[in-house]
Amino acid sequence: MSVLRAVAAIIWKDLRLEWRTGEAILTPALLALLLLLVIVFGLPPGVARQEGVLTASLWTALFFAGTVGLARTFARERAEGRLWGLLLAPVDRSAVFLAKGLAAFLFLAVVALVTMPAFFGVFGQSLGAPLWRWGVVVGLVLLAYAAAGTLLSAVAAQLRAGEVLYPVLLFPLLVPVILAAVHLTDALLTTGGWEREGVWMHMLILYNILFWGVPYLIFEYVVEV
Amino acid sequence: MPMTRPSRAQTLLLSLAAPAVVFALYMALIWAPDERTLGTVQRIFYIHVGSAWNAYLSFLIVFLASVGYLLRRQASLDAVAVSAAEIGILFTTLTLASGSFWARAVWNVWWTWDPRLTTTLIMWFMYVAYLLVRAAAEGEERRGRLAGVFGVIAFATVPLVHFSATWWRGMHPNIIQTQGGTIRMNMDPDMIVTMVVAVVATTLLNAALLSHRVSLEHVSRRVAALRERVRLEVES
Amino acid sequence: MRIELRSATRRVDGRRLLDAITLAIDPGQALLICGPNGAGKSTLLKALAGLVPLTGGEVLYDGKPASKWGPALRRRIGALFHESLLYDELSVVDNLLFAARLFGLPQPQGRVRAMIDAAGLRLVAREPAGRLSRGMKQRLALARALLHDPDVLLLDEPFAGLDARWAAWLADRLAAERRRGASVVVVAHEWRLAWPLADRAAVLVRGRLERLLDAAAWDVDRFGAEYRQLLMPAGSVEAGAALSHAEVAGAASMGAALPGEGGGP
Repeated sequence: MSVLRAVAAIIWKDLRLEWRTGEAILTPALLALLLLLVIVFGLPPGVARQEGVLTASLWTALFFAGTVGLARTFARERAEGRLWGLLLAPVDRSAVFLAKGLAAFLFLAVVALVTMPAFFGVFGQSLGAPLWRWGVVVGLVLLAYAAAGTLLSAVAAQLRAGEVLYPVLLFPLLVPVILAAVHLTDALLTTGGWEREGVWMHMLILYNILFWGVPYLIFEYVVEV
Repeated sequence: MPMTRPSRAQTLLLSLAAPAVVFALYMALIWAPDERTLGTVQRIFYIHVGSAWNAYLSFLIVFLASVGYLLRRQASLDAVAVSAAEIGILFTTLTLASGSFWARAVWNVWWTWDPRLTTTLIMWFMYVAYLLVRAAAEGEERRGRLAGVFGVIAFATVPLVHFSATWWRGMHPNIIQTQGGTIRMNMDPDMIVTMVVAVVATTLLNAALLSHRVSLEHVSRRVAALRERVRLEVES
Repeated sequence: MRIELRSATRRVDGRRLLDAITLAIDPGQALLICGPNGAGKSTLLKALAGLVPLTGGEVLYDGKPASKWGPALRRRIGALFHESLLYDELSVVDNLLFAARLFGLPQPQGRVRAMIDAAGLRLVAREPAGRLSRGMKQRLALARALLHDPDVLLLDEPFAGLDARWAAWLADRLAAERRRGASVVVVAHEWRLAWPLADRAAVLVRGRLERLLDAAAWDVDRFGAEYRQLLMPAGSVEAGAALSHAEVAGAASMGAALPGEGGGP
């Protein structure tokens, strides 16, 4: 139970910090909306309504904007020795990863919640599927993104110019998530369900298991020193 | 004490690898028969398969050496990891280039989003990122540790990347098909022999390169340590 | 808690940050560690806190290796490092509340309020930590370290930035913690301030424990002279060792072990 308490404490702290700094929600959300603007400006008229354009633009914007906040996940803990403060907590160290990952997921979820309606509005699309299905798909995608992003953030925080390197380290690992996100949301828009793209659902779940599971074995090595 | 001169095993490896590569090239470019529909272009295939196999082999070595380093903290394991990563990137580049030539000749495009090519390309990015991690980490211990972590994560992700590339789009020629548990190859026996020779020769080349690169790594680390000692002595 | 180091060694990139350090601190005792910059003082504290792994030897708490204790051990350790561990954007209250929750303290609100009063931070309780003066920030960092009544206190430069009044407060506080049975390790570059509260003093030079002596048997100025001599470059280390052999032997008989002499693999 002390693990849950420590996890809750770290998430509470991150929310509190976010309230004061706006690093993980406000900035990424604004960037995602700006990217939407850029993409719409770049597309020839009429193309926007074609199948696949909305989902590709949406996920491109969300994934890129997300890195801005995710890169700070551990970079912020690096200053003033704060990470040591977390590691001194009387709980298994993977709890620190779990908490930071879940907080990152919450931030990404808020960013998506704010920016997605704008995308649907701009592209004149209706949801095409029940809201809960959208919740499941977007939730799984963002969980996978948060896990990989948090783990890599802990690595990048220890590198010279780590925040600059961060997207280059992260995106090759994210390819399965990005493809799954595009395919599943396309299926939601056109068929109203994910049954057509069942394999991608499996992929997402597998990816989540891998990236929430591997840190339990490896996180201790990441945060040493 | 790290080696500064090639050991006997290294000399032997190199003296096996060099003629083997020449021999494999002879078989691939001259000895093997022309393919019926593709003609002489098909000969790219031998180089392509040889480098692809060695790319995957190298990254497997990076993975194993990384796990070993994280558990044992022996600098020599980290030296193997960085050496194998560089050689793996070299073979990946060869795989991509030969695949690209093949695509130009056969499908009339320089690039196709075939799952294996796509996976190989993303793998190339991953291991370039691996070298970036190494370049941006300060201190031998930290470099080894963070690179080790990244080496493990990257390798664990490769199969997922491959599956997703397969489901995304697919048009790679299936040379090897599994039918009812037995592997059957749609190839002339001479071609199979040539392919096997090419794979063996490139693997020998890989081993020779790896052992020399590891020695080089040891030497350069010794130089760095000596330089540090001189610096400390000058300071005090 | 009884803290024990058995030939604790940490080598990184071929450099010895800690070189076969063997010593023990009994419950209620205070050890002062001094040494020049880069001597390994902070590394020693972080090794005791379990934040950096040793490459040789071991740390024992109450006779049990730290590796066998598991996370529960950290509940009993309070640490103050050179870095503040604080979040500049969070208020004083929030910083402490976070620490209290992280340690799973019962009634965190009450505990935090008491600590804020004790450290004289009531007037700035709602201010972000980043806006505090140096002395106040140091008090906040100390409050964070003391919040959960740890049995082991690892303090890196605890007197830094404190004025005379708060330095006295800290000395009183540490005395009280020791009466409670807490063992205290104080690292101090400016060791004179910490001298009065130390039972024993250790001098660390280049990762090696050059001296471990009984503070009560030594006069401040005599130790100062000895310390200065130890830090003098080129050959003075050997000379110093011969000079004070008698005192070191005396300290060793009080339960302290000399470097190289202690047990452990």
